[in-house]
Amino acid sequence: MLIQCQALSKYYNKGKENEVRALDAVTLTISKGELCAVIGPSGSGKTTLLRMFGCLDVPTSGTCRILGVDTQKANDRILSRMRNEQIGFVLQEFGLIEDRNVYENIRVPLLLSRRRRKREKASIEAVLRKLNIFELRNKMVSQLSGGQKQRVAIARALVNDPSIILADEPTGALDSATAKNVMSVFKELNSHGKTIIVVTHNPMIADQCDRVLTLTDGRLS
Amino acid sequence: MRFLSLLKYQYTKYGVKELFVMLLTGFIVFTLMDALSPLLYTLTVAQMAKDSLPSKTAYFYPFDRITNILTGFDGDEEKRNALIAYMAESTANSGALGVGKTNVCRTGYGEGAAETIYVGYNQDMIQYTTLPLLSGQWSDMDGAAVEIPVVVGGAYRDRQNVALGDTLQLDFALGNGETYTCRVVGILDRNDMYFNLSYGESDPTVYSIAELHQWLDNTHSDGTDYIVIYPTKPFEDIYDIEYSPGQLMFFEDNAQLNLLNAGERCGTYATLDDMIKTQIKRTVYLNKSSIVTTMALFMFCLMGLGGYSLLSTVRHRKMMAVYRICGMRRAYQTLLQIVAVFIMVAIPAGLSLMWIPRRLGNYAMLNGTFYAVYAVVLIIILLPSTLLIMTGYHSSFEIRKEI
Repeated sequence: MLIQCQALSKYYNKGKENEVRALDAVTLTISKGELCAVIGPSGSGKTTLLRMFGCLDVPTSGTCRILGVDTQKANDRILSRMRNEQIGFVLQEFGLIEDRNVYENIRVPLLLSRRRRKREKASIEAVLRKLNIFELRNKMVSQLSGGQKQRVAIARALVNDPSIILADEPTGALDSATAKNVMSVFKELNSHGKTIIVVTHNPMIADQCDRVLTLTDGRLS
Repeated sequence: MRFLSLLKYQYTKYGVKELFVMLLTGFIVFTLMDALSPLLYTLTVAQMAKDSLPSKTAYFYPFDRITNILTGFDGDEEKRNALIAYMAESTANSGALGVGKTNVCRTGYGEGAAETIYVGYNQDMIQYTTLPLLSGQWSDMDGAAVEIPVVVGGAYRDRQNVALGDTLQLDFALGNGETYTCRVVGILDRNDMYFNLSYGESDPTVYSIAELHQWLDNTHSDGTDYIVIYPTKPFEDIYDIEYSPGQLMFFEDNAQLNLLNAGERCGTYATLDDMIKTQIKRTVYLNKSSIVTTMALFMFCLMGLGGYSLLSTVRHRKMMAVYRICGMRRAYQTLLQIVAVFIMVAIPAGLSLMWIPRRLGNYAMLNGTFYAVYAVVLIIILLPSTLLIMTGYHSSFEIRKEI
């Protein structure tokens, strides 16, 4: 199993009057190669769940094992390395460095990687070609359209060849045609064995996924 | 290498903003240190004087002569008479030393030391410098009974072509028609001197210290180390006063304290602490416009830097959020940010530090106090940036916004 959650709960402001149960005893497993959508209304805990999968947060109770690593017990060094080598993020607002060009943005995970830099250029160019944005490599991010930016974000998520891609509303800032295009990219990546988890409000996007997890008030339904 | 690559990412592509901030920082450091320098100098000198001067030393204001003191002395007659008696005795003991012409203070120096300290007090300002010898020594009592050991300045040496060990016939401008056999025991490493024994009307000067006093007045030849300090040359120019050995007077131990007590009534004598307090007041007063202007400028610049830090931290927060999701550790993030800010402050600070000593080096004030103040100034500049970095510590806000 790639991801394994057992009675996973996450509380904010625990014990206080304004306590929030973002996740409440969630138990699930996600296998390698799944294309999975997480849907639910606002405040249902989708993003919190994604943060758990991305090793950006740890459970209040229960366990969350990513690639066999218990995130609650692992230290920041291990979790950071996992994010760098095993997990790729694609964000709604792209999360790109605006005053850098495409190439430099995609290079960031490699700068943080322990892998040899010899193959850095080859890795970046390969992923640029894969996403059909090779010709944009020297363009500043601020000059790109939303769809192009999202492709750059996906390229950055892929450059270290991670096992898991986590996408938080990846089509939220895009028009429907571009959103379709982005989803086709995800599908293609999934067909090559990548595990992709997409958080979305959009049922059309969810319909394109193999599996749909519905969260309501922090619980899986 | 990776760290440097990431560090490069912290700055804008062409670094124009950073250059502006660095210029601003350099300007702040320089102007602030420039404004603080007089005060810093005063504090430094005060501390050095405290460390090096005898604690029971009375200091005369150079422009208040004893005659004036006595003229304006409205204390009781007994004290006045005691004072005059002391002067008379002093004159008798000291030969050429005369009542009513006191313009000296004293300090200590090391026996035979190659370098000694000069401390003068002029126009409410303590002056402090070191006097290195080019050759010879300050003190050489061998043969002092027949020859006065003297230290000559560079100007005198050059003009008269004298060398170490040479014998000179000097009259010391005593006006008694006599000449004294002197032996050159030391040559100063500089031409301009603050204290000297005028050699007639000519410019070249001859310096003599304890030995001269001992030669003139054996009753005081107790082996105590001291030198006689004359008012500075600029002071002479301002007040059109010329000094000669006949204007010298030495104060010793109890007599010195007596004078100090009498001086309280006269308002003429001061302890070192009084002098330091006066000097600080005077320094602040004389430099108040400069200090106020600089402080205002400093505040404006600091606000500008703070604003820049705020904006750049917002930018960096987003960048840090990206780094975090790409696998950067928290500790590494903090280190990177602090190093990035530090470089922007350290470079201009270093340049200003190289520039400032040129202005202040002559006063020998680049000591621990200076560097401590300098460090405080830098911390004040660094503080807003550092605080903002720490508030955006691990980019949690930005990550939550993004994810």
